[in-house]
Amino acid sequence: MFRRRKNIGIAALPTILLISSILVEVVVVGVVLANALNNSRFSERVAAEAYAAANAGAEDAILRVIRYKNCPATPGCPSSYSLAVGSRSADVSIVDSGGGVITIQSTGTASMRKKKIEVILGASSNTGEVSLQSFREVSL
Amino acid sequence: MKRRGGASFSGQSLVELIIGIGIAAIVAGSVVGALVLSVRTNKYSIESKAASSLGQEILDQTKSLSEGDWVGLYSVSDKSASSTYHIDSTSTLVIATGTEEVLRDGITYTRWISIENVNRSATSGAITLTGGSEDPSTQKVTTYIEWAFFGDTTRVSLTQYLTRWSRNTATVFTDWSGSSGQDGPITRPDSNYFTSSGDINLSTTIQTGSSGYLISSTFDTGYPDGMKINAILWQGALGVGGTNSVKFQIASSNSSGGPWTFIGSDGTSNTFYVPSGPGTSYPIPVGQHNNKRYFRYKVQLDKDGASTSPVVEDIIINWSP
Repeated sequence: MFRRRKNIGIAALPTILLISSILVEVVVVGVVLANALNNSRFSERVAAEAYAAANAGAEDAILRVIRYKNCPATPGCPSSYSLAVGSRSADVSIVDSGGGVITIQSTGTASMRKKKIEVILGASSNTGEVSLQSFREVSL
Repeated sequence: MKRRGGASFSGQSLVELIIGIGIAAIVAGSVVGALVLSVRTNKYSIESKAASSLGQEILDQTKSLSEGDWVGLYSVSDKSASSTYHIDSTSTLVIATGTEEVLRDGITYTRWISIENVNRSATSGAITLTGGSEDPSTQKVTTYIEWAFFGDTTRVSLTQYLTRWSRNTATVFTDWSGSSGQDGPITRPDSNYFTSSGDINLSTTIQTGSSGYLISSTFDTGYPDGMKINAILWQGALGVGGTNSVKFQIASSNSSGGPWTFIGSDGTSNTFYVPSGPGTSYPIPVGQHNNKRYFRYKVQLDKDGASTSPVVEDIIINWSP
């Protein structure tokens, strides 16, 4: 009788500690997983901002190619430059790929995320008229 | 002994129980706090991702609209960071004032765009936040999405520049062998022209023995809301051994009858657009020849001590509706 009472009394704290530790472990794992998921979603939101910045850089570069026939060889149409887009930015490169093809690559950056858009333009060597061949997101 | 011992163990068990409950309460409080924070963050992540998607959607719609009707985008009345528009996609894409509400997964989002003018440096052509001249071919569009989140209003935004480049067109004038007196408007280049003066020889080329100019017929781009002239260039040969020049002025109007005020690089009739040579474009300053349907060009050739005359084979005007 005496021993039973002693055992019952001692069992309460370890039991609660055991259950609590299990509960803490489960919740910690859950929170960590949820946090990872949230980071992923946050990353997607930031990626949308980077994509918009990359688009802005591409749009700006196309207009420069139209205005400067021999782009990228003139001060108004440099082969590479940076563009502030609100609180984000885009790094743009313009390359004469030969054969009347101009390639624009614009990399938008938001926080740590980057998105890259590549534009292929056909440019007449005689008239400078520009036609869009492709405008797409490419891997970094 | 038994009573004393029993009472002693009972007291110890109660203390343990109280400590245990205390620990459990602390743990439970922390766990509940972590869970609440996690659920809240999770909800915010889901909703902000949906908001970004809605923002991208309206940016895409605005871009489509600008490609089909740039002047419609550019001509909205209020142009500022606080301007408020949305895209009405009921039938065709149209810019409408005010915000719109979008229901997505049980959440009501309020979204709108602001449209702002953009300045560019006259020297580098780069977009500038201060100084420079307004470029009517570039617009800054920011989309905002707001929604209620646990009693507070939350907002995400996306910013993009849109430019007037789609349907870029080069009109090539390559024959002046016809006759003068053609006022126009013409919708495609032909061999006639409006007038010429000075020592000017016209055929499928333009040449001069000393100095002269030609004024073209009125050209109709066919766009009632107008276009922007992007650049002018010419093909041919400048001549060697001297300082020959081939230079241009352009007049534009929304009426086929003019008035025709020929201007050059500084926006007055005192200057010319002077490409550095054949095959090199001269970008028209951003503030000139915007949203006009008709244009005329004036080309002036000067032979100055060179052994050969300047020869113009093509005059090319690049514009975007």
